[in-house]
Amino acid sequence: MTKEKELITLGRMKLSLSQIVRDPRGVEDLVREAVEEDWAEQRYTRFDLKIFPFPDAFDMAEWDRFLLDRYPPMHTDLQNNCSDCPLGPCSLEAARGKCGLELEAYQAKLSLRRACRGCFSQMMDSRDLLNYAIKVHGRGKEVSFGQFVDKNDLTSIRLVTGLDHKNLGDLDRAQSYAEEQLTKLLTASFTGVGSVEDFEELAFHAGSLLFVTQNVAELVKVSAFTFTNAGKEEIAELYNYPRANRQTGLGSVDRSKPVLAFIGDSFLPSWVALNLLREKELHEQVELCGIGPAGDDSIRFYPNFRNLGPMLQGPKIIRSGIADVIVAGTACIPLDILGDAQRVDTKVIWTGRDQSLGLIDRIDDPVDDIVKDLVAGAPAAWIRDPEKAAKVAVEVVQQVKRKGGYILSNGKVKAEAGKCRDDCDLCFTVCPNSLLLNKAVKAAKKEGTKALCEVEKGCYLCRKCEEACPEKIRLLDMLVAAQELRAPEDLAVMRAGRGTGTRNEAGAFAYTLKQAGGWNYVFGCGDAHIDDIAWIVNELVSYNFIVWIAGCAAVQAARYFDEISQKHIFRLYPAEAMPRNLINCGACSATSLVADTYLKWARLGAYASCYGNISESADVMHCLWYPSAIIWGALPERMYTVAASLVRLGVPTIVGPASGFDWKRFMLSDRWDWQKWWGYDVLEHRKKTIEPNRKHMLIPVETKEEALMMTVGTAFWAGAPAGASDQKLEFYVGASERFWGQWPDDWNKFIRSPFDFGVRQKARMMKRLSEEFGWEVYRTQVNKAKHPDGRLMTWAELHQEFSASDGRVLTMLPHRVRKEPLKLEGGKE
Amino acid sequence: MSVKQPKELASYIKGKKNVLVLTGSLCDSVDFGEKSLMDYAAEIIKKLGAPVAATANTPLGLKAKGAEPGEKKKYAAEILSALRFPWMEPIMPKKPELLVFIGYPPAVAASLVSMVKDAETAVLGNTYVEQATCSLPDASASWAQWRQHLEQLVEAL
Repeated sequence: MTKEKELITLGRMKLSLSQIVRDPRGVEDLVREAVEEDWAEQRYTRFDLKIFPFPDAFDMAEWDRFLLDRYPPMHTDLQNNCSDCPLGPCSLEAARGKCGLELEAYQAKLSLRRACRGCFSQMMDSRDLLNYAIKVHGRGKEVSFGQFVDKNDLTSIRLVTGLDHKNLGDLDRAQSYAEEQLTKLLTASFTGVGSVEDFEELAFHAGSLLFVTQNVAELVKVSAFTFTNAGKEEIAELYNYPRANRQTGLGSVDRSKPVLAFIGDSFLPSWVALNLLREKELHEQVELCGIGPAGDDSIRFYPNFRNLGPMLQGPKIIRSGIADVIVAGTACIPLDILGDAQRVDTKVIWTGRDQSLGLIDRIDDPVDDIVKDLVAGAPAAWIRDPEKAAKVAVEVVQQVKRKGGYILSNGKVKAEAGKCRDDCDLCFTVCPNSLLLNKAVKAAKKEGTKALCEVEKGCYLCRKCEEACPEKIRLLDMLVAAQELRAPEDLAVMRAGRGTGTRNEAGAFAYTLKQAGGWNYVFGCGDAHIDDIAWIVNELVSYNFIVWIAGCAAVQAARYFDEISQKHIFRLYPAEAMPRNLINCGACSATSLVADTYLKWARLGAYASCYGNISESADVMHCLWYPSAIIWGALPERMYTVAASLVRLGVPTIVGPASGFDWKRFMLSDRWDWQKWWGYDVLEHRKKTIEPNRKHMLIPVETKEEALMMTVGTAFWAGAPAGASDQKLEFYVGASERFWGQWPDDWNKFIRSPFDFGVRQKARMMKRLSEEFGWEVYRTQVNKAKHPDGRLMTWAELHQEFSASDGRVLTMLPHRVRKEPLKLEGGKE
Repeated sequence: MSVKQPKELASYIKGKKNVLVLTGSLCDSVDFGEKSLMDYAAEIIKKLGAPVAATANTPLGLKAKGAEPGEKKKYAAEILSALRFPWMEPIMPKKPELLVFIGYPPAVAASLVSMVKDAETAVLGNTYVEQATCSLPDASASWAQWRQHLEQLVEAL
């Protein structure tokens, strides 16, 4: 390498590549571009900056170790025996394994394995989509999130890899990196030997890789297909973008027409099918529907597409017999699509490229032959080519005749219920959601199907009840009958996903952060009560939160109906990043966009480069901002990996209800020991005591009320300016009183200035601070506040010694402290 | 790890000094007819006089059943996480010696008790929970049997 090639221009400076990157070989151009386009000279002179292009997991060790130290992983349901290698099996309960692995580390290794599994189907889908786009458009096809998201905007690809993504070829490079890294992680999850921290860092990295590959998919969707894309819309349009006019739910389908449904991760079959139908001007004559990501995506390019529900509700929807033909592909969770569809004569076209479902591969057969076979009675066909699959589906759906009558009548439901023994409650015991099916079935003896309607809403047809029933009662069919009973009213409107958030919106948060209750993400896959997410979202938005939603949670949120305004939730609230707004970004892959938007502020507000810079960006945001996430209905492993990614970015994540407890690794802090809560003042070189927040990084909760309150409880942050917490605190104590008749046990810890008292609760807070916590209070004024170490002090003294409410910037990483202490007026440090 | 008959379990619990009771979401939903699981939870709490970590949405129900004072709204995972550290959780002055779980679905109970370090656990559910120090006999097939176990336990406390 010549000397000239080694130098990078940064303002008036010339830097050597080796000063800012460990090994510049092969990434010289990428690093040069990132530094010259995105770094600020003054920042470089003051702080120790580096870039980590295409990093290994351990390149982020400093930040990851901070997280793992403050929130030490808590593993549950320990597996004592390891049989991962030919040396085993080893019992780890009393001693190390033959490889030296300890019991706790083995649990972390299993956590890593789970995080890897959570990447697989998304990684496959992104690769298939990217290959398809390259085949159609070539590697040079430009990709972009739109004119309002430029190269100085953070994306997960830029943040993790350092690569600026200009075309499909760049996306191929990013995707290949993710695939290569995932292979390493998966290898470590079987053959690796190390500590708990080692494996959990690798699990975090799996999360980052998931966001990279999700970014790849989203960029392809908006660049090579006509998906809705907020990145090319003027900010003035975003409050109602896209319009809330997509119909969802079983009641939205016109069953007098042929019904063609798509299920799985890929939208390609529905894209091709729609185009074929349009060419023949038949698209108005066929109902196109989707379940899971295929439904979430397809409403982004076709307003009349019906989104029927989340992935985990798929079996119940299929067994309703609503679809004449289903085109199914690989997804986040394996479902018995063939078995369920055959019960209702629905034809299945399986498009998965990784599994056959026991079907014969018909990829090389003529379309007409496959159509003929299906119409003549074949239940299914396996066609690995999405274009061919769509052609077959479009033909079959117009020709196939079904006999109907698949739903149990009220009389049959009563007859089935009549078999239930009065002394048996097994179905309750085995139900993962503890639904009171035992009581409902007994009631159905007299009342029939309607007695099952409430439990049906919490059921995702896991089949455990039917397997356990000693009388072999057709419980699943009964639950499907209950679903059918409410189907006509199962109708809502929603906004399609809008894609990314924009820099303008992220920037605007600087002006609204005091008014906003919080910045919250809601994700979910459909294994909880179908109205839970709608309730959670409405509670948050109506209390001034900015709520971002992605994946199957959106279609469940859409169910909320406001009786006063007579509007569904997506029509009730606008859709830009402002308080009291609800923003749907899209399918599962848009989860990465939700995180990208919040992280943009690290670049905007703190000039942290958005290229190859996970640690610094996460640290800045952890200290400066306060998002939190709820993952409700947490069964698929993809959500485990989403959580790993969010946690690495410093976003507290709350999971539940019952399935959240099955995650087997949580990250809670020791919130009662004040000495463990500190941050470095970036400018003054001081370590300061702070309040216990963000109090947990990953916690399971039992009820939706707990999810809501834990979200609010993690929405306080040490970097909040004085007065930014008053609304949150008021909501925190008020809602806790509403749900549980008492205040939270830590509300007092978040008062750092006289401006932090909510107006409505101020008098009560003063009284309790005085009587219960020993503060010196005179009427509604605090004379002496209490430092966590027990000392009483004035507000001014508290400002000096505690937290950062006077606008000081904190960091959790010693190397991020300013190189020289800031000289204040009068030469004082 | 072991199944204890209700009377045996009652004397085991009474023999412990620092007991913490945790009440979970099923307390609000399981109704046996004449009595609910919340009734039994309240009776056990009153008899034991032990502090209560009221998790899920149980604080109001416990209050309505007169199980105060002492019950505090807590999150189950937080309480169990606090056991990992020097005990500073204000719900009780000393680290509990025994945690009694009432009202948790079997899988949730199994997950929760497996988080517990350096303390014993008793699960008063309708299934045997292998990870717990002890639980009531299996009554997975019938609420009537579960109810009978709870009746016997309360009587023996």
